[in-house]
Amino acid sequence: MTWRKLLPAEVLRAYEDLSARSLARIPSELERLIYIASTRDYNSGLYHHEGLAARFDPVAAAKALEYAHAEVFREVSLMPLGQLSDDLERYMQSAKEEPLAFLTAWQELEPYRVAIPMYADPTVAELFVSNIKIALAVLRYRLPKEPGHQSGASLPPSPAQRSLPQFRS
Amino acid sequence: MIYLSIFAALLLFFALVMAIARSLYWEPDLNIAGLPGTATGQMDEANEAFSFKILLSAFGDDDRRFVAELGDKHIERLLLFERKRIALRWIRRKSAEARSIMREHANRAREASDLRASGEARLAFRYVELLMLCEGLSLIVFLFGPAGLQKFAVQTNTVLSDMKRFGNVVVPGTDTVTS
Repeated sequence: MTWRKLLPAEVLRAYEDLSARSLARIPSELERLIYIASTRDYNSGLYHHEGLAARFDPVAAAKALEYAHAEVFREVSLMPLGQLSDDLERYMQSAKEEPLAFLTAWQELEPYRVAIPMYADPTVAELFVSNIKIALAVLRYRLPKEPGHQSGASLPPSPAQRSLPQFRS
Repeated sequence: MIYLSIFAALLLFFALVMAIARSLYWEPDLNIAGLPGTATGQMDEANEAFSFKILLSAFGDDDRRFVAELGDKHIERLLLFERKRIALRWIRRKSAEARSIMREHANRAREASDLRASGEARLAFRYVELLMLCEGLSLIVFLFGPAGLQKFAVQTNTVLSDMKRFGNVVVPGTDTVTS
């Protein structure tokens, strides 16, 4: 991506180290996004990665994490729905939660919103939230149906479903 | 005479639909965030490329095909609703960028001594063209959704890129700020 050329040398080195040592081992973009977002403090918005801060200047390490977050966020936001649904399904399986409980929690609590970088482009942030909502609906549809149930219609309505009649973001 | 009346009524109807669409989707100001701590000028190329990818994603047909294959009406409606929202936001943003270019250009043109009338006219023409494209696109997206409108969205994007370029050329030695 063109933005990488704009990084200062130390930040770029820290970013490449992070990519090679940590991110390359994570199988999907969505899991990478969740991993990087977890290195950000919810209260201060600052990034911290113990290993990276030990090897590089802590400020450069934090900038590298911030950049990696922005980059992987853009990738996930622009992912085709089919691929995003597959990634989300893989993540759901790796979380080892009951699928129905996982989907209900993600649809009601919308924890994926914490994965949005602080300085994300607002349109891309909207696209990300929108795609995750649809991917969750796809996964709910894919769940094995209980006898007498049709699609996800009998399940509790998701926030997305509830907001359908309104036409305001 | 009756055809004229029908035509006028249709025009009024579309104007009304547009006004309603605008009131539902109004966005107060332009906010194009980039990589924090980086100069705006450096970001232009990267933003341009990325904006194009958003366009392809919002107006593309692949996701609609994927959802259609599932055969669930609820997911199809959800996709249409969400894509309309994103597409209309993208259009509003392009329209806001164009207004910002013209505002900035007018400010610079007031102080310039060697303005070229042909350049000014060309920029004004492009601006009107872009506004018309945005209005038309908004109406179609509002009524039918963005699927299959990639070509028009690309055209809108191209006109905006031209405006950015003309904005720089028409008033020599100045940079057009777009955000």
